[in-house]
Order: sequence, then C-alpha cells, then structure tokens
Amino acid sequence: MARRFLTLALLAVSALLCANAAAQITFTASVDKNVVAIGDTIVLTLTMGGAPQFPEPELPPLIGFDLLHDRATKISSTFINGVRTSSVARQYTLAPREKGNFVIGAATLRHDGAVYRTEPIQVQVVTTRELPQEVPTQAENLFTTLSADKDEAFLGEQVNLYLRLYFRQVQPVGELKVEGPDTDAFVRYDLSSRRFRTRRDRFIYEVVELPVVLFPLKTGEITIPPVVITGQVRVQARRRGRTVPRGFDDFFFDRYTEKQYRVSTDPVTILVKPLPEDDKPEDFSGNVGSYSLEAYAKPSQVRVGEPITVTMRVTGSGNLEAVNAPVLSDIEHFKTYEPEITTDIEGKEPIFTGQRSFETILVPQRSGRQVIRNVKVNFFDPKKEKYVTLAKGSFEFDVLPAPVEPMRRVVQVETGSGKTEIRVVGEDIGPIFTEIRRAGNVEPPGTIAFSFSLTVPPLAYAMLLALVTRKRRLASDVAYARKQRATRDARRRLAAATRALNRGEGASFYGEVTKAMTGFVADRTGMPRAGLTAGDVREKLESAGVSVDLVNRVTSILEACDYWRFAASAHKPEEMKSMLDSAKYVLSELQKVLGRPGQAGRASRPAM
Amino acid sequence: METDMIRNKRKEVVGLALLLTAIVTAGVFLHTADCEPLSTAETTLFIEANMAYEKNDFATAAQKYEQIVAAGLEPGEILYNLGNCYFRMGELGMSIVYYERARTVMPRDQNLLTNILLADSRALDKITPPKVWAVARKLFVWCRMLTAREISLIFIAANAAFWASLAAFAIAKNRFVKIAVVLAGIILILSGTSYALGWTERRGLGTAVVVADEAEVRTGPGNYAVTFKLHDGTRLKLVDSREEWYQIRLADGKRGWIQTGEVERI
Repeated sequence: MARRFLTLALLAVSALLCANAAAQITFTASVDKNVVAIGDTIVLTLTMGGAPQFPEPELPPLIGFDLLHDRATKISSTFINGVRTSSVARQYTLAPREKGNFVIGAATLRHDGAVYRTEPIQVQVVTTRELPQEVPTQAENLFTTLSADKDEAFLGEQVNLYLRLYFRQVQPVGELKVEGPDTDAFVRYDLSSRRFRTRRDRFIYEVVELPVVLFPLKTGEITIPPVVITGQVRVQARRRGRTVPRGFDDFFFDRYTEKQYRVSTDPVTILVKPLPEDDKPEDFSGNVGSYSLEAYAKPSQVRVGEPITVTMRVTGSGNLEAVNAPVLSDIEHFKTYEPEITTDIEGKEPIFTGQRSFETILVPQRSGRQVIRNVKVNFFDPKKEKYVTLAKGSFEFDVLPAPVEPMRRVVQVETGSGKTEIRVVGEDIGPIFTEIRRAGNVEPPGTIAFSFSLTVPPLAYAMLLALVTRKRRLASDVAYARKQRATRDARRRLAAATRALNRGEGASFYGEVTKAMTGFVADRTGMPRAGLTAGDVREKLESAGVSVDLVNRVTSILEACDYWRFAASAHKPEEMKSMLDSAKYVLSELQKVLGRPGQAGRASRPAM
Repeated sequence: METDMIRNKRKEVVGLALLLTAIVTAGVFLHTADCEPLSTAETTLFIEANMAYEKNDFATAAQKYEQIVAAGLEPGEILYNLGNCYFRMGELGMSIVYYERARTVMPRDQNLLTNILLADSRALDKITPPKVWAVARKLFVWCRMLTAREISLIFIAANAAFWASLAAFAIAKNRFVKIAVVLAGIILILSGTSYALGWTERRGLGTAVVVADEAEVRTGPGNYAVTFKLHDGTRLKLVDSREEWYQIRLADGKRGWIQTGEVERI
C-alpha cells in the first residue's frame, strides 16, 4: 500500500513538474564568439523554449555591426526523462564595422501577452593581428589580401596588383562578389583568375588570385581603397562536447553548413613618379617601356602616284596598346595615309610583352630619287631610367615619272606549244585628249519642250482615231451618211440654183431649188428622194413635229417651184432671187428643227 | 463608191502625215545648237595645259584646264584631262569626280571607262552593294552608256513610235503592226524607266566622292559619335544636307553624316 502511495506521489510530482516546465518560457541570446576580427563574422542565436510556436523576436539596434544574413528558424525537440522539450532558434550573421568594444543589446520576444528579454552580450572587435594566436579563428581560415608588386613606379610603367582570397577548412561556394579595386588613375587590364596552394605562416591555404595590370595615368601618391569580397563558404560542422545534451546541439546537425562571409583588404598605396625632364627628347612620344624597332618599305621602285607600303613594328615590353606610331622623316614629297595598326600581346604578366605594327601607305608625288632618312621611335625605359631613341633607315625609292602614254603594256610569253599567250604586266590611265572632238549638247530637253513632245503624239492619235471612226460609220451606215450629207447636198443644189439664176435659166433654177428642199427633207427623215411630192414632204414634216407655219412655207415654195418650172410666162429675176432667199431661210430653219445626226435639238445656222 | 474609198485613203494619209508632222515638229523643237566652240584664248590654254601635262607638271595643267571649265565650257575631253591630272597628283577622289563628270558628256569613251575602273580599283574602301542592286545595275547598264539627252530623245521617239504604231493599228489591224505596237511599248517602258531614274538622280543631291584622305562619318551633323571612316575615292550617295554636313548613304546601305568639305559632288 505504501509502495502504491509512493508511486502515485511520484507520478503527481512528475506531472506537476511537467506542467510547470510547459508553462515556463525561456528566451536566451548567444554568440559563437565574443572576440571577432574585422573581416570576420559572428553568429547571433536567439533561442526560444517552452512553447511549440513563437512569434518573430525583435532584434536590438545593432551598433557597430552589419546584419549580413537572417537564417531560417530551426526547431528541435527531444525527450528528457520522458518529458518532451522543444526549442526554436533563429540565427543572424553579423559583420563588425570597426574595431572596438560593442554591446549587442537585449532582444525582445512577445508571447501570450508577456514580454521576454535576453541579456546583453559583450563583443570585442579586433584586427586580425590582435587575435590570440592560440585560438583558431574564422579570420585565419578565410581572408583576403591586396598587394602590388612595387610601391613606386614611373608614369606609364607597369604595376601588377594581386587580389588574393586565402582559405582553409572552408570551401568558397557560389559566386564571389568583389567590390573594387578602384583604379581610376590607371589604365587597367584584368587578367584571368588562377587558383593555387601556398603556405602562409603556419598554415597551408588554397588561394584564388585575381591579377590586375595597371599603367599609371597620373603622378603622385595614389591609394587604391580596400577591396571587399562577399560570398558563401561551406564550413565543416563543429561538434560540442558530450556534456551538452544532444537535443540542444541543434544547429550542427550536418557535417557541413554554409555561411555568408564578408572579407576586406587593406588599402594599397603606390607612389607614381613623373618621367624625368633630363635628356627628354623634344619630340618625345610618351611611350614608356622597353622596345625594339623594325621597319621596311616596298616596293623600292614606283611611279608617281603609285603606293609604297611602309611597315613599322615596335616589339618589347610596356603598354603596347598605347605605343604611338614611329615618325617618318622627309616625307614632304609623299602623300601619306593614316596607318593601319595591329597589336599582338604575347604576355601580360608579370610584364606586358608583344608587338605593335603600323602599316602606312606613301604615295610619291614627285619623280626622281626619293629618300626617307629614317623611321624613328622614342620611349622612356623605366628599368634603365633613361630615354631611348631608335631609328631605322634610310629608305630609298626610285620614283619614275607617271606615264603620259597609255601603259597597258603586254608581253608575249612563250608557251610549250610554240604559241605565245598574252599577259598584262602593267596598268595605267589612258592618255589625255589633245583636241576637242565633240561639242554636242548633252543637256536633256527643257520641261516645256519635253512635255510638248510627249503629249503631241497621244493627242494626234486621239484625233486620228476619231476621224477613222467617223469615216467607217459613214461607209457602213447609209442613213447616217445621208444625214451627214444632207446640208452639204442642199448647199450644192442651192449653189447650182444660184448659177442657173445668173444664167437666166428659170426651169433649171426651180428644179435645183426643189431638189435642194426635197433632198434635205428626205435625207434628214430617211425617206427615198425619188418621187417625193410636196404632199409627202408636208406629211413627213408634220409627223416630225415641225411647226405648221414652217411646213406651209416649205410646201408653198415646193408648189411655187412646180408652178414656175412649167409656166409659159417669163421668170422675173427678182422673184427668183426672192425664192432663193426664202428657200435658204426655210432650209436653215428646218435644220434647226430636224437637227444633225447625233446633235438633236442643237441649233446651228449653216451659211446657205 | 470607188471615189469615196480613194477619199478615205487620202484622209488616212493626211492623218498619218499630221502625226508625222507632230513628231518632226517635236524633234525640231527639241533640237538646240551645239556647245560653243573654244575661243582662241581657251584653245591656247588647252594647248598649254596639254604641254604642262606632258612635262609631268600636273598641277599647272590642272590649273589651266580648270580655267577653261570656269569659263563655263565643259567639253568631255577637258573634264577627262582634269581627271588624269588629279589621278597623277594622287588625288584619287577628285580624279573620279572629273571622270564621272566627263562620263555625262562622253559615256561610251573607252579610255574614260578604263580610267574610271582603274581609279575605282585604287580606292581604299571596298564597299559591296547588295546583290539585288548589282542585278538592277546590270539590267540598266545601257543607261550608263547614254547621255541624259540621248535617253530623253529615245524616250520621246519611243513615245511617238508607240502612238504612231497604235494609230497604224487602228487603221490596219495586221500582225506586223501589232508586233510594232508591242516592241514600241517595251522600248517606251524601258526608256521611260531610265529617264525617270536619271531625272530622280538629277533632282536630288546626287552622288559624290570622298576627296579628303580620311573622312569621319558620324551619327549626326555635328559633334556626334564617329561610326566609321571613309577614304579618298569612295563613292557615296547624298541623301540630305544640313549646314556644313551631308547625310550620306553607301552602296552597302551604311548611313551617316559627313562634312561637306570632305566630299565633292559629281
């Protein structure tokens, strides 16, 4: 019984302890190290326990540090003596900004209406050299340096700058972000990065080296600011001692973990000296380095106006891309062209070597023996600290006069078959004209003349086409032809009547007047002319809508003509003249009423 | 009836005669006097220039030829001789300019054509036109063998021949007349196109040649970026002008702005 009571009591106490533990919230802060070097980082860990879930803790103001990385929350749980305990941790990677003693203030956690705060943490920031040697630090495992191969250089002299990233026990992963070096005062050539292993102090390091070749552009003390490299490294996980319960060894589950890093170099200062003024050539080109010169020109025999190619090659070490062209002397009788420049760099580091070629064309303007005294290049040799002038030459050319006669010369070359083949051996322009052969006008015609010449033919064609069309209709359409001819025939009859009147031939006169009247009416109305009486004419005119008065006048003229043609009495000329006038008037009126073919209703008064 | 037919025939003849008269009138209208012959003083200059040339004094020869040209006379022979002078003096661009000016007067002169080919081959810049332009150039190669006046007269004559043959076809519809209409039509189209091309060329700024040893071509008229450089003797098309600048186009389509002093218009 007592044993049962003891068991129950223990259970009750355990349950009480368990309930108490569940209700107790813990909130602590820790750092992975309290002494850190500039360029290294520390990891701030905020651990929250006593509840399965927590809100985001509030970080204190970070004085003297930059927040580099905010890691994901890690949750761990374990059972101790059958009781499950859980914790939530958040990690923050901090980079110190400057040397000194700093305090990471209290972080705050708000949970279920209660506010929890961590204890402040003291952190000392030192330089790499100040770190205790005995204690291996991250700064020893990963650091960067910037160094130049010389502290002093002449203006334009090559300086090699080496940016190196040293690492051991860590492995850089991903891309390196390199800020700098800032080299505005230099002509800069970035070379390919390389990787090697080297011993430094007591450790063996893997090194990634980024070499940069610089050529100073200005004199004085030039400081290249620190270079900052950021990236990620893979770090072998550290294992704590067995005294710590496994459940709290929470952040080092894996053998490796990735960490953000940020390392920076010290600045580098280079003293750039000006080129000496002593013995400086007057025509100094500004070239700096150590070079040799090679030059040749061909062909040596040309005619005036033909090109000569001059090739100048500067070989050696220095900033070859900046080497100016050698100078040709005594070229006033040549026309010169800008040289074509090619640069072949054979090596860049530790020193730039290679060659720079200048190919220029000279065109002789004067015949005779032409001499280019020399081709000259000068430079300052920083190794010897003196100016050097190199010259090649002289170059002599036999310049023949330009040919006046055509020079399309051909030579006959023997071939195996006994025949000769023609080969062109020279080419030149043709001879000048010694007399004016042509004096013709070559200007195109003016606008008016040109337009006139172009428009006349189509207009003439249109007129001809109209003429041909009308003529064809006259030939094929009898009724149309009669209508077309009616007026003209009537006019002829009246002319014949006039002649008869003048001759005093009364019968003939009245006959012609009758034919003129009946013929006109017959042609215009499409009736046959033969046997047409005054009655037929009246009937046709009335049916054509001619006025009664006009019809009466027509028929009265026709009846009068019939009467007087066969009357026995003599004809009075005045009466005949009156009849003729009356007939002309009537015909003109009829023409208005009956109209012309294709012109119905259009009045025209023919001269009868 | 027979009389009517005779009359009709007469009218046709009269119509054709009218047409012919119109053509002849146009031809007479277009006929203008030849160029003025050289005066005694100009002839003397010409002879002196020729003598200077033969003594290889090309600068003096060019100066005397240019005096004749400055007097307003531009016979092809003098332009050609000037081209030769500049060629001998190594001024390739100016020689091409004068050769091309001479070509407008005597386009079929073999010496001139050979000289142009030779001068072009000496130019430093090699520009390859698109194939389509090369084909078009071959198709209308005959245009380059004729003066502007000759092309105009061929166009006018082809126009008259076309309408005359069309008129003949209206009167007598037979196979031969029909062939004549088609042939005259083809000649009219070709000569009309050639005339239009020449007219467009004359109406615009035309073509020019680089006369500077080296000329920078920029993206705009002024202090713009240099896109490429041209050298003495390179031909180019002038597209536009602005103050001291020409906008140019090369045969391969490249465009840019060049200073007016660095080119000479043909």
